[in-house]
Amino acid sequence: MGITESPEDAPAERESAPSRKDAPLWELPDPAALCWRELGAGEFLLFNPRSGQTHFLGETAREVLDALAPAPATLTELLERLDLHQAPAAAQAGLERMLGEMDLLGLIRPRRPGP
Amino acid sequence: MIALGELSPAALARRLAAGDVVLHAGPFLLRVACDAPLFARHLALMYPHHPLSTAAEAPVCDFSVRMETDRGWRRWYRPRIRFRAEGPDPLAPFPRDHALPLFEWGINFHIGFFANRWLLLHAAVLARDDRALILPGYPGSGKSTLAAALMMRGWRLFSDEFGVVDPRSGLLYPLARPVALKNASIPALTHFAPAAPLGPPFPRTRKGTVAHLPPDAASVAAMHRPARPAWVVAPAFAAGQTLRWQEVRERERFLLLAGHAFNYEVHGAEGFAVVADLMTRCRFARLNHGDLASAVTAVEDFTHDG
Repeated sequence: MGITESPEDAPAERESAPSRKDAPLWELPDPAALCWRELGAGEFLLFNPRSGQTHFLGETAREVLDALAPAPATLTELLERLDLHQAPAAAQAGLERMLGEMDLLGLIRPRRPGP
Repeated sequence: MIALGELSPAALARRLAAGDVVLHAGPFLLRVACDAPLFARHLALMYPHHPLSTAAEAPVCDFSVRMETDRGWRRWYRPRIRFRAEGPDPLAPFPRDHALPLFEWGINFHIGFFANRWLLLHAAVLARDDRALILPGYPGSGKSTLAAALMMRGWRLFSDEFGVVDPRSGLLYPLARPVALKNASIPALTHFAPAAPLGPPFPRTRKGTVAHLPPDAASVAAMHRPARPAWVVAPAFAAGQTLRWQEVRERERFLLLAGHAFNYEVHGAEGFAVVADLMTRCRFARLNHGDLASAVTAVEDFTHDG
């Protein structure tokens, strides 16, 4: 059907923050091509022409994609762009998990740092 | 151009046998060939008002259908009929006297899979004053029965199966083909509208007993006139259920339209924009009901004041 649920908005609890070693650079390809519709109550519809998929997204997912639109970012850089660099580890882990889910949905892609 | 009903039964049967019938059904041209005389009679019952061309007048058609009867021994022993058209041949043969439901299902299959110039919602559609009412629903939701009843109340029938949307304009286009009623829907409609010109019942099909209601003359006469989408009502019939309206939230609106579409993915960003516009342009509701007459009244109330 090509319609998927949003990555979960709630950050998951983790015992410790993930390792930052070899952290990927997250990229949102061609942000101008994305088609957005606001549904109200903090929900958005997003059509991604690269995958042909339509997604339901929450407000936090929208903020992440907006923050990635100007330029790729590592998790640390993204935390800074979202003003979350001093947030609890659980929030940071939740963001990392969301990035992984967005990658699986074909919304963003990782770029590994070169040697 | 003549209407199909203007041909004598013998002349129609001859032209069908010769593959010289091109039926105009909304935006589609259907070339039909069949050598079963009973099918000719049933086609005349279901499409009496539809314009008809010869193959020479309409050499390029959207669908070219051959209804092929068995040859050899099976011509006499439990004779069958097959639906043949370009592309895949997914429908098993039917008993020869069930040619009409096979034809209708076969045409539905081919529209649903190949008419990708249109965004095809899975919905019944009717119109009043060129404003369209979309009734999305899975099989068994009661959309065909409600569509048939609304046509008997003067609404213009577009289709009981396809919401045919032009992705460039967002307008809905009529198909003006027969409504297929199944099982308990058949007596429900005749109870609601005793004058409804239902065709013969076809028992023991894969969906039970099926009978067809032809589109009325007014619906066929206006079958090239599109309508602007105005209302989306998702019917949910359950016997004995009290009538109840339910709000449809934004997220559900999208699923009702795109989730019920045959080819939403095919249209990419354009299809997304069309569905998103329908979500904001139309008034939505879910209608739970257990009685056809009260459902019709409720829909007419719902659509009366905008």
